[in-house]
Amino acid sequence: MLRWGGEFPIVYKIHIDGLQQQKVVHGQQPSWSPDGQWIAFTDNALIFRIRHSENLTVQITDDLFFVDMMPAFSPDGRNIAFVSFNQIGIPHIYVIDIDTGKRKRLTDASGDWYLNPCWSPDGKYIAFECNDSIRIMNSRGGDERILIENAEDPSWSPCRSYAVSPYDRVLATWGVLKAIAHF
Amino acid sequence: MKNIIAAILIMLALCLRVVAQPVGQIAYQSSEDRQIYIMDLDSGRKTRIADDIRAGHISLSNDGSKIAISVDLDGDGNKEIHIIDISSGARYRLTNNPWNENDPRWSPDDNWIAFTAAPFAKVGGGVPDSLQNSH
Repeated sequence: MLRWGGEFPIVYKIHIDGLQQQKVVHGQQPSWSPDGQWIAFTDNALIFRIRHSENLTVQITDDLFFVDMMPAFSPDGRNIAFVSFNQIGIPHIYVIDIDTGKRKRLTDASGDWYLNPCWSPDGKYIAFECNDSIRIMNSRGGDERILIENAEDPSWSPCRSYAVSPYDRVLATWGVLKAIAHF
Repeated sequence: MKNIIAAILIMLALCLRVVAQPVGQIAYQSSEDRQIYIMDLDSGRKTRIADDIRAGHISLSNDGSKIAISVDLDGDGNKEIHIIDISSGARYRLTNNPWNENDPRWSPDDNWIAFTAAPFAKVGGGVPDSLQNSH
């Protein structure tokens, strides 16, 4: 017999073998921290995180005049990007520092709807939905541009990526200088 | 001489900008045909992952080999989490219960998926015992 033991919605986690399933917390829209110890989630228009091994829940956002949702842990685990609807119902993307609680709005006040933030693996960019396109911007705000038209629900993986180290930049710069000198 | 220096500075700025372009790949859903695609940011190439799945809530695994989706394949309005192997196209149903499951998100080691269980109005049942008893 199937039965229900709590209120919806609820965050669960399931092993990819399909055999181990565990309730995590009452809430929705989970996002793992990079160390796998925490899961950020939305509950009652606020952002929380839970250390699921200890069932320890910590509130992240606390402004009752906003509706916060769609949390996404940064790759370094220090920040969470999320969507917040302001008093007139327009959603913008914010980033909050987990330690200090300081939140910063990254998107402008043009009236566009910004949804589903998603960090690049190196933490330099945030992809998001806006006006039927996937766009990216600097993770500190600014330099917004369209990446994919007629698209939604971005999910960013580091696969096939390469690390861009200072050494890479020096090499690239040196190559350009050599080409100029040859020319 | 000034022109040469200016040209070098411009080339330097361009070079640094090009090298610093975002890399990796982004999975997404097309709002035109509702299919799943992956765009390789290095090449700009877009690849359609599956021809017959109108899914939502896409999550690309950290190793880039699989996609988790929330999809109603039976057409009864009940969404389940499915896994698609990108290279082979093989897929399997990960969850199976009478409640909607959304927002799949891969754990950093790609061994677990967190998701949201939400009400499914058409069914009068509940979360399976296997879920409830594993708290």
